[in-house]
Amino acid sequence: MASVTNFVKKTMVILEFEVRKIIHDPLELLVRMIQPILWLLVFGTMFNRYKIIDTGNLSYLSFLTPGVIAQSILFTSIFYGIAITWDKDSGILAKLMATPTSRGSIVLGKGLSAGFRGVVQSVVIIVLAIPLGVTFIFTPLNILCVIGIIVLASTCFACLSIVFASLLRRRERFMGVIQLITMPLFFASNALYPLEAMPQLLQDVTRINPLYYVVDGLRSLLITGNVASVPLDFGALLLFTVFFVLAGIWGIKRLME
Amino acid sequence: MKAVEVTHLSKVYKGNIKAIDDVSFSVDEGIIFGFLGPNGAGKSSTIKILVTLAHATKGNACIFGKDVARESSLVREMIGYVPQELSADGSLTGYENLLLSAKLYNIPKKERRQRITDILRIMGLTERSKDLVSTYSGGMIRRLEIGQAMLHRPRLLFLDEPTIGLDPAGRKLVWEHIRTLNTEWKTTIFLTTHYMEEADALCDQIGIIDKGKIAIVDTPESLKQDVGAGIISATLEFNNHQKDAVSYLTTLLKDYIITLKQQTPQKWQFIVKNASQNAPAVLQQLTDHQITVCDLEIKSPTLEDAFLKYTGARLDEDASKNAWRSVKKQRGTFKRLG
Repeated sequence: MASVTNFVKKTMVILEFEVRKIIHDPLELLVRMIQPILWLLVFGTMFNRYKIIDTGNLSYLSFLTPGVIAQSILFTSIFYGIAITWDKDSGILAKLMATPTSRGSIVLGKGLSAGFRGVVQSVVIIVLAIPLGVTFIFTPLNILCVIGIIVLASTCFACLSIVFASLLRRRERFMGVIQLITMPLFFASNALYPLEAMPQLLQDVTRINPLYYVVDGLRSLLITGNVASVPLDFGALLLFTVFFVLAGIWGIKRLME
Repeated sequence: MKAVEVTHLSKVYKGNIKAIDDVSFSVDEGIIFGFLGPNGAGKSSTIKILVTLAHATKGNACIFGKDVARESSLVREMIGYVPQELSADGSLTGYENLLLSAKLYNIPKKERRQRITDILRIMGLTERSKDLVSTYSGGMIRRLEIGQAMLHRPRLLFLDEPTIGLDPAGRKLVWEHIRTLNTEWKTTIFLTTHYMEEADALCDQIGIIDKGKIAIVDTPESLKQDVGAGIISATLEFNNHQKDAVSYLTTLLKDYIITLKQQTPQKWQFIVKNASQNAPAVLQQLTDHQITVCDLEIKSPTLEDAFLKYTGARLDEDASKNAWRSVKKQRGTFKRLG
């Protein structure tokens, strides 16, 4: 029991100081907001006007907004590993790992800090979408579940990124590979178009894409209100996250050897 | 109990590269131990195992009797570690860096503030504590890092190249702090350094590692004596004319000198056993025999000579410059990011 308390405490400490860093220099957070805003304002409004994609009785903008939230989480968290390579190249990670802090706390704490960014970004996107005519379902339980999905998703992608960082080690290689995998993850999901619009093969691939469950969960909770699939979304996302946290622990140990 | 006890430790990397090869040594509690060796000799690999960051391929290591592999969390609580690379976080303030360490080392909430204030004062950083570390000078960052590693009052402190890249004033200041920690806080200190004068000035004991093996562990004094002879250079005037000055002096000083050389008619160079201890006797012997000593220079063996003897390599100035260059490069990036 004592070790569980200690694990939670240390994870929160790591999270706290990662958040302090973001607050000291919010520029990066702001810059990362530009891309999702463009998706929403330019891509979204254009496609909305010409009804290019059939989204049933939902307006395209309403359909798209959860996708853009998921996209902004993915594109921000997936680069988290660069901070790990930086901490490794300086002595920050070595010193951290020589303190009485479990590797799990280090990985999870850093992953959760991506969740903080994710929540801030999502709030901004939602606030921008309301004047564009998107109506959201807000109930306390809904909001709680949405935050849960955002935090899980950010942690999941940040830890995936840590795994890549520890496998690739060099920053240049890392950037190349991450850019290579981000777009397929994004396009092989239901963020921009409904699943039914895709060829069968791609639909199957989508089922092993964590982003699919993020988008589906957010869309069900915030827009459609058909929450039947939400437990599955949560379950799948939790599974992915646990897997990548464990892989991330293996990764940072490997990075130090 | 020994602060560090290493027995038959080996580390083999991929491709069968032996970084450490069956190394055994120990460090007494309460001393400053200097761990020296040329680049690639196995210093970093040993430290990484001792601070629980890497696993040994064979053998084991204990810190105050606790095994670094099996009881790593107990070991981590007893040690402090300052890596060679910059390890304070540039995107946090000095105070926050200390607060982070305080929390990670489980310092009780009510003691945190007092301990941080004390460390800031001791390290001379109080006025800059609210500034981001990316605005600090190299010396200030080093002092902050040592402060971070001291907050939880570890019994053993690992310092990897503590003064690399610091200017002479910054270096002296760090030396003073290291001495204070050792004498007043009774902290055992395990440090690596490229600078021979640093090892000589600070360390009670020195271990030299070369090609993955421990060459010797001893005090700086015995290491220097071990090298043997020093050199006495003297300008002499003979008041009683000697036909063969060389053989005359050889006989006269046979108890002390190993060889001698006449450089100019007046200038002589003697290779002497224990040069500094024997110099007065040599001087006495010469004056007793009507030889005037106009000037005298004694060159004792240095730690560098000892290092040379055991490793066959001069502690490469270039190597230390290179290491510093990489730290400096890092610092540049560090500032940009911070």
